[in-house]
Amino acid sequence: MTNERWGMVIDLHRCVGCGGCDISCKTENNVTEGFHWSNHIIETRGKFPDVNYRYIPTLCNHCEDAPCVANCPTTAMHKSDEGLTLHDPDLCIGCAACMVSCPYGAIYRNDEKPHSRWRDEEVAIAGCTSSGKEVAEKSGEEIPHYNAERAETYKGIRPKGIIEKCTMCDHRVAKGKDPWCVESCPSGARIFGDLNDPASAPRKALAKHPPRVLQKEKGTDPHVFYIRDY
Amino acid sequence: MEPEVVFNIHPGPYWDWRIAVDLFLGGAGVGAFLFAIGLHAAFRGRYRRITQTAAWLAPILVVGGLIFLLAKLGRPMHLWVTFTSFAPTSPLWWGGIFQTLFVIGSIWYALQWRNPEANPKRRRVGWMLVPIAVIVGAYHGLLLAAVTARPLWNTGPTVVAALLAFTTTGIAAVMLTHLVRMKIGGRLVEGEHLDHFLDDMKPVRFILVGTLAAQLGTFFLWWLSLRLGNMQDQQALAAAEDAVGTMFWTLGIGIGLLLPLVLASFAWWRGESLHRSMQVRSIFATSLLILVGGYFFRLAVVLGGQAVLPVPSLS
Repeated sequence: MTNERWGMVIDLHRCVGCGGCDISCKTENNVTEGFHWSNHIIETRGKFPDVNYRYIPTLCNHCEDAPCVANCPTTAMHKSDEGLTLHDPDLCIGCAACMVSCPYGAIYRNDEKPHSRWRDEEVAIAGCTSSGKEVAEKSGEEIPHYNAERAETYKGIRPKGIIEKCTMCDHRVAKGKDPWCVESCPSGARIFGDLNDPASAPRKALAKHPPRVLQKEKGTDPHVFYIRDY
Repeated sequence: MEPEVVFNIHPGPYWDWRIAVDLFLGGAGVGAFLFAIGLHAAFRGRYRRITQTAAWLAPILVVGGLIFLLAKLGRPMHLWVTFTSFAPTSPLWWGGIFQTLFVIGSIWYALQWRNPEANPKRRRVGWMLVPIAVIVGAYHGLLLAAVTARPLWNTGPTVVAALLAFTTTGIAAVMLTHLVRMKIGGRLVEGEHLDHFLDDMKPVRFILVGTLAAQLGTFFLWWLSLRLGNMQDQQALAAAEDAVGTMFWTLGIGIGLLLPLVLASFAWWRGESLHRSMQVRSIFATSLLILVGGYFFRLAVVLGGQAVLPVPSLS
């Protein structure tokens, strides 16, 4: 048992809404088309000229009291000692109880074999461009941008039939690195660290600015906090 | 002023008609079993033929429902993991354990009905299975009610509605199957057999009218608790009504509850004065309507509960 409690603070004032976190997550975690481990919500409020715009980056909240963990019939969805909500593909039966239980819509299921794009034999311009299948074959991997590091703590590519979700880059965190969305953020809007350590960056940010969470009323005790506004 | 969400992608709705069929058949199976036990106990073995039909129907329906549930699993061949895991906080885990026990027990119970004569061992095991059957029936409501992320499901009346729904659909399934059984056996003609059949149905009408009325009251309470609930409850109800309102009110409530209630009440009120062929038709129509409505009610609840996108409220 460790003392760490990993969490993330997203500074909405620093966030420029570029979507870089969404894209970097896909490449780091070999996430298939249509799945969004890192996602965002855009909302507007009011009427011109008195309008307000909000861009809210979202991801699995790694809730302390995670309903996906409580409702999983096989304990495939579980809490790590450091408070991360992780998924064991070997135990998953693909019942989707976690999906319907998640108030944040952060979990996806592979109904088909993922990354179909890289098995597609169709070419855009015959005799000129390569098909997805040809590119994948040349790369020697199932997908050309395959990140082998991902497979250190999770299935590198999750197979058909099981669910998948954000792990807060536990494979990187285990090596003392920040999640890739944190490192990739060009404006430094994402702050990752140990919520149990008063000297950590997220704790300092939370002490400085009043924190908010998504759907507080659900009582899930999220580990992703939001500070300030756009 | 409430924000207008312009981008909010989520997976789903994820549980589809196969889950609705599982809830429907599973509930009807449990209802059929409890009906068999109740009828046999209350009338001291007087209605043996219909009890026999109910006892046979119970495991068939529950197993049928489980087949549809398996069809929705991403890895159905991996289901055994559920039985080697310990997940006491998951209703699905409890459901898996108790449904397995129920299926085994109810198959044994049905086999004992090959001979309809009195059998004390059968009676004892039947009563032992009753609490398991009630748990399995409640599970079909708890499975949805335990999902806190879905305000439409996450209510007390969800469980009560499931318990009442399994009673009515269970009885309807037994009545319809028994009618078909009589027809196939050539016993549904004027005479002694028809007299027996209509005699069998007398207590059924009484139970059915009461349960249908209670079910209607529960649905009204369910609707009212959401309508007068917090913002999320109201949004969930509005989204569900937009998505499946017509199905719910027309097929689920109108066809599945109101019409059968009127038919069953009429048949009960007129009693023996109603022509025998009309009595048979009324039983057939009432059962069919309850079953059709019972399925669409569940489908509407399963899909409607997933209709609302999570509210992106930051607080």
